Amino acid sequence: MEVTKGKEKWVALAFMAPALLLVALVSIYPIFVAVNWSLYETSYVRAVKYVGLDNFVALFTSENGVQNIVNSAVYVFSSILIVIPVAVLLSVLLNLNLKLRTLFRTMIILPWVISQTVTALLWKWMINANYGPITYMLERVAGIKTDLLSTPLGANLSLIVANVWNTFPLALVLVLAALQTIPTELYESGRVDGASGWKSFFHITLPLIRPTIMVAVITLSLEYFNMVTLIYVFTGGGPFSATETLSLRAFKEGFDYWNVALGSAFSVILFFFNILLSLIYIRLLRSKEH
Amino acid sequence: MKKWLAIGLAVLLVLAGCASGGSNGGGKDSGSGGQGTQNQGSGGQGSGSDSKKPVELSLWIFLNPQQTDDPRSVALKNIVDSFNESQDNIRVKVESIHYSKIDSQVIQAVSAGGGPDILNVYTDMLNLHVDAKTVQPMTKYAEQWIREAGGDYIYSADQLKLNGEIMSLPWEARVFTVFYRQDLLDEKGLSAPKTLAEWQEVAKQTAGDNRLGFAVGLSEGANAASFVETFIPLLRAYGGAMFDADGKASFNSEAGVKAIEFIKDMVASGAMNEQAVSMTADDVTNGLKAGSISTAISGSMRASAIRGSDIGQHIKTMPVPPAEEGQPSPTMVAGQTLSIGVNTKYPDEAFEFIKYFLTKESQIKWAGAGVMPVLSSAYEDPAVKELATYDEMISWKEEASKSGQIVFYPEDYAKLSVELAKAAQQMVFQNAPVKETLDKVAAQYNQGK
Amino acid sequence: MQNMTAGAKFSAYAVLILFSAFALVPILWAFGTSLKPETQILQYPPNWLPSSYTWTHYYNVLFRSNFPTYFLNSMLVAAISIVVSLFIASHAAYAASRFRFKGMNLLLFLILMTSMIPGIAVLIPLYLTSVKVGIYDTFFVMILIYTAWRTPMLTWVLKGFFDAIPREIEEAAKVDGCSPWRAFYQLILPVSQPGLAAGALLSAVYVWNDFLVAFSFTTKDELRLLSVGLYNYITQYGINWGQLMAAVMISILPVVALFIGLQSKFVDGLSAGAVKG
Repeated sequence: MEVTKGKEKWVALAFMAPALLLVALVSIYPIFVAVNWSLYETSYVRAVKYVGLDNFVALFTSENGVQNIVNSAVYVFSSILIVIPVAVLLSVLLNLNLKLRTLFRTMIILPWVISQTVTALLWKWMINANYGPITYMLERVAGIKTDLLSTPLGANLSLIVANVWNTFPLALVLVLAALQTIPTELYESGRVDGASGWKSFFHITLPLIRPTIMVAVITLSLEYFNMVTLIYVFTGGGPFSATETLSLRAFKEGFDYWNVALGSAFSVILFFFNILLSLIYIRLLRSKEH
Repeated sequence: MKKWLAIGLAVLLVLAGCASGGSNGGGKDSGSGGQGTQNQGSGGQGSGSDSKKPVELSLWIFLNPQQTDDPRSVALKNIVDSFNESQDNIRVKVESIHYSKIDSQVIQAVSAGGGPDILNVYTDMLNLHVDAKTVQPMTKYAEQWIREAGGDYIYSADQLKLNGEIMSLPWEARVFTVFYRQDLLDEKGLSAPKTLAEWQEVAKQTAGDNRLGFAVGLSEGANAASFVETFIPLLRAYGGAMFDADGKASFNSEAGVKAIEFIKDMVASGAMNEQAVSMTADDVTNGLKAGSISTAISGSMRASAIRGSDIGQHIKTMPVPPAEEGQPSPTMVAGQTLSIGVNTKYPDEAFEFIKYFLTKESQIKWAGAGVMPVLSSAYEDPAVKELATYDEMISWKEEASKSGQIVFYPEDYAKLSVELAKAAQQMVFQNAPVKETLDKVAAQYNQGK
Repeated sequence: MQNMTAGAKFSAYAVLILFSAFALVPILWAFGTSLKPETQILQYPPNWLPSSYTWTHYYNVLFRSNFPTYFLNSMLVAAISIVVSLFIASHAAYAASRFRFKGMNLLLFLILMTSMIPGIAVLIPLYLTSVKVGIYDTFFVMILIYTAWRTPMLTWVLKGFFDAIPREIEEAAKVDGCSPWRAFYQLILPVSQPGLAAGALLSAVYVWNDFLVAFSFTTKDELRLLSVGLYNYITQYGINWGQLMAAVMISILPVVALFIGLQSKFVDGLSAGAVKG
């Protein structure tokens, strides 16, 4: 490395400049505005009275505040716990030289292309206790009558399944691409050393795709934490506020009830949770690397 | 070298994106800038007195004139086109915005200094717009017009006043009424219930294996519309009201308790079950349509959707019965209205258009599209009398004019609706004490008033 | 790849078929609904196969509404967003992968942190700003926001892929007198195709399905995107299931086409020569 560090830094900056400029304008400036609002009492979109941290405290003193955070955590972690193993399993299978591979790949990622609103409407219809086709099949075949949406547990389960259905292809695509970049000779030499099948997977494949899995986990966690539309249309937060996540609450306060200050405050809290979550994950990743 | 090519390509693409967005106004970068302000401004191009260039007005409404398979959208297109043709000074352009978001879009636009010249406001939301200062009073125009219309307009000027000013004119009406399955009643030899107690019996008997005898959507989603549309008529049937003269909550009265108990009794008798807790107004519509609900309260505007299935053909409507025979049961009435945007430069011209919406010809077009007109003379028109839905529309009009009142709900109505629905879930299915829970919601609402 | 036992192959197929079924069932239901006449939708008992077929819904969606415009708008916005965001993100990712120094970590973290900002937090401020600047109600503002919101994640994903490419490639090139820029364009990008393809797909699906931004930043019907157009079928009078499902079926096609088209980029492993040679 004969090139001076100084010159390299400029090159690096030149590479990064467009990205930095873009996010500064479009993301960083507006979040300052939002934070500003969260410190005031607002009337529609005008800040009226400075109230400091009152809006933030409201999260914990208001009835459902803590419940919202719990609901978010349940939603995010349950979904991740299902999505990641499923995505890894499927991408390994779809990476094999099986017949009809392209067909399977295409069929399996189809749910990803459906928007959250339509996903919610479809699933809500299919599991409807009276005229839903899935509940009907269940009744005909197994004789069980189900009414999933009227209990907190059932509603949460249905919501998580619909969410998994809609989003697992994201992890699948990432891991599949990662698998594709593993040079085949690695497996060859591994086999020479006596590793095959599961051993090869755990000792060769998994360590190499671990960074990608981590990216998928973080990306999806952020997406789930901030998700509004699917929940809004599917359960609206009910029943008994059992599926009202922090993100949904922030949305309702800001956009349905026009309490922009409160909505902004909740969003800022959401922002901090996002950062916290990512830092935790990164810490975990780094510790595993060493 | 290659890097400059790549950068150049990207810049070109971005500019292309810019231009195609702005091409509607023509030009390059300035096009998109102009486009932005043009849409945000009050839309006028020439001065009002310039007879060569017509004044351009924007109308924001939830209907989309491009959707020619929807009769209401066709009616709108028709009316706007014939207005534009009927005179040279004013041209109205329609911007369609989804009904669930149109209010927030307007508020945002106005706060940025723009907004429409004419806007469609649902009666429930009018106070929200007044509070957010997105509409301007039209009292002098409206009073004069109402006087000229004689008794033809089904509303009086006083009925429409908010704090002494008329802020908008309804151009359609809708009532909230009971939808029920005539065929199921016939099967069981029942007649349409004349009191609330009879309704309990009818619901109990028409419930079945995969069918609720009665349904009310208790979901806290979709701003709890179904719950409120059911609760308020029941509240009124028991003699109560949502708010008192000072705007304070009064739904926690004896009448309110009885209304909740009515719903609880439905569950107790087996006419309804926990499914209701996840239902929104759309789910009630779907249930009626699919035959899994036999009676429910819903809005007259949903009648054609509800009847969109074979089973739905058997569904009839009737006014919400009173608590006891002979007692009043005021019908809940609402409607879409037109207001003048606060930032418009051409209020006179805007009102010209609003008047056009309310002419007999336009109202007849609306009637043909299945919308309830607001001019009595429209109901007399032979073409309207031919409509298949005429008898029903007349009966709705009777309901509305006999006892109906538009009540303009307060600006924080959305939040209150959701709180009430949540409370109802607890009262109906978790045995929360009714009076205390209603008191709690009322107290929370009244805070700071 | 390796030799699999017949049993292993069978299980593999079984799992794939199971998950394909899981993925497809709702979509098949949607497809069936799009072909049923309106009176048969929402029947009890529900039937999976329509007893009579009709193409009216597709006809209405394609010829009696502005759906084709929405469709083309989404294609345009998605295409430009993909190109621009991949361009910006790949540059930033390359820098993050190859130039390691203290300030770099800070810059990287700054970029990534913006992806943790909830969209709903900044929606209204962005709206107000876009109006002030005069870019409200244009394709430009939507592309700008989509790109800015996708860049952090794409940067990170691509960095991962670049990290996996051995530095020996550029070292060898540097010995030959190649500048970092040339190395990037001529050596690294071509072998990063799986990563770029994945990134393209991620951007495409995001833009295709996004609703909040598309809704908040345009009012004109001519600029409307597909996701907002679908809402035309969710009316205050009830949901137009037949047309909604027909519109959904049509809107799936481009992304599926993109995915199939990108299949060739998901090539099997890196050829050995790149490193050894």
